[in-house]
Amino acid sequence: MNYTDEPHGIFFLIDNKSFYASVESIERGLNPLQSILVVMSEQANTNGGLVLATSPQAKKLFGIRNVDRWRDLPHDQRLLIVPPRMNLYIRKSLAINQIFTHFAAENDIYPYSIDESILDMTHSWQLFGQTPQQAARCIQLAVRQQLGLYTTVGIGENPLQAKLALDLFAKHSPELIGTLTYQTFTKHVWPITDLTSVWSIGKQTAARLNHLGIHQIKSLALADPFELQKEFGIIGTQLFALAWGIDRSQLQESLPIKHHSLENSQVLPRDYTDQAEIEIVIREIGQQVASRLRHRHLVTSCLHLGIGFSLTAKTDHPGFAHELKVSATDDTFEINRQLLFIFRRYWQYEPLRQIRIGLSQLSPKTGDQLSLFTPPEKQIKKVMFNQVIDQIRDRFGTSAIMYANSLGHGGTFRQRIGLVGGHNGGNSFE
Amino acid sequence: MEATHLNNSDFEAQIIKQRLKLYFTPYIKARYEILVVNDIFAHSYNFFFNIYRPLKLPHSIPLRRITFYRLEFLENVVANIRTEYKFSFVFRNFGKQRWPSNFTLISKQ
Repeated sequence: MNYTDEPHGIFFLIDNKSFYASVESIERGLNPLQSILVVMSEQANTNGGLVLATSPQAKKLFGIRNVDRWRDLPHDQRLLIVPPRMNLYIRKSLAINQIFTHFAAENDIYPYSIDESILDMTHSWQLFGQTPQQAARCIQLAVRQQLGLYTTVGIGENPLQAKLALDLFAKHSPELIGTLTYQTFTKHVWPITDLTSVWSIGKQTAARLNHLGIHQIKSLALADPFELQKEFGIIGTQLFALAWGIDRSQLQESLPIKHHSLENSQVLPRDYTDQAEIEIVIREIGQQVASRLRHRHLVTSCLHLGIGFSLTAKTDHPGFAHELKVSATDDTFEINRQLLFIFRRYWQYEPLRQIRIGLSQLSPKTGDQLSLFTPPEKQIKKVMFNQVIDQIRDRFGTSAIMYANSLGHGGTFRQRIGLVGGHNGGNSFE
Repeated sequence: MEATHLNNSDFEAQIIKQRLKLYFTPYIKARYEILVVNDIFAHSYNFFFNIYRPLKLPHSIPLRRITFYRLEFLENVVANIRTEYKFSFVFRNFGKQRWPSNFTLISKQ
């Protein structure tokens, strides 16, 4: 393969080793690589507890994985259980990215997730060492000295190579640094037979590739790209490029979002079978997502309701999802009325475990459109009501005011105040 | 120095005691301790409530981060908590530092 025309840069993909567990270890004065600790969410909807993060030693000694449940943990007194503090992790993530600004221009740093960032070091790595590996070592030491955390660095000539170097090699190397280049790519990546270990190939994709007779990255690279495109669509060509280590993405160009949408979802703490209880939660999520809509000064013209059934549901389907076109609105009452209409129309008394509400076809709010069929005073009162609720919550916090039906059986609003990403924000610990 | 809630040891102790009251449930054969960590990275003292129960995994619950990074201040907070709670205190990462009032080692480990 001739790579001459492909982009050649130096990219670092930096990951924080067992991030949440490491932060909690540092907070307790422990070495993140030696502590035996799991961060466990014990929210009501986790059935006793869900492992969010495991320290490297806990993984090694007991084979604990993230998303394991309480019942999977060994009864060993060395294992320390700590609650999550999502706001603390966000602050640490920001602090780490701040350290990266000493090594690359702010515009060349791309946070990829809470514990991973891509650094375009093409123009700056030479300031920190003779080789990219030495520059990576400098960054590792800076993060370790300032925050106590260990970082893993994948180095590549493009972001894809950096990501694969991180996932496949850096995490297993004693220096916690892995490198891939166009020259070494085929030698190191082609022999891989566990397709799911490669970024962007999940179980389903791997099964479909196996079905095509592809059991190794080398076979994927040597497959007919047109066949792959026929089977997978655009993803097929991306998989083909991945197998050759090619990534032409320009990180500095922001991707235009074709269709904005807002969504909130909730996993319920138990099976919900009572219509009144389910409707309370739908209303609560509807209020939440409508409030987000108003804060962005937008209106929606399409509502989406997704329902996930419990495993005990006697049905072949995992749930249902339906959309409904509506007149442009940001009114909580109208949104909830239509959501309940969808729910009542399609729900066949199955027990539920998940509710997902989305608003799409968003457009800027230019004013309130009065209807001819309702007295204007009544409509204006609704608008004012929504505004007052938003203003009270902005000023005094989300818990300052709530609808009385949230106090009813099944309501989850009160339990979810203070959660960040569905887990404990940890503000009450600070 | 102007007094604020951040350098008021009574205020900090009060918050910690409130949280201890919230998280403490007496169990048979359980062991409880308050862990105080000298966080050299964040320049703070971190308080945790550690609970060890038979046949249960140990839990470590964060109580408070004290950002006023002075040993005299910490000593006042600890003394205040000790007037009400008799839990063992474990001090970590204090090295050879000594309490300012009587020059005894903070951590004997």
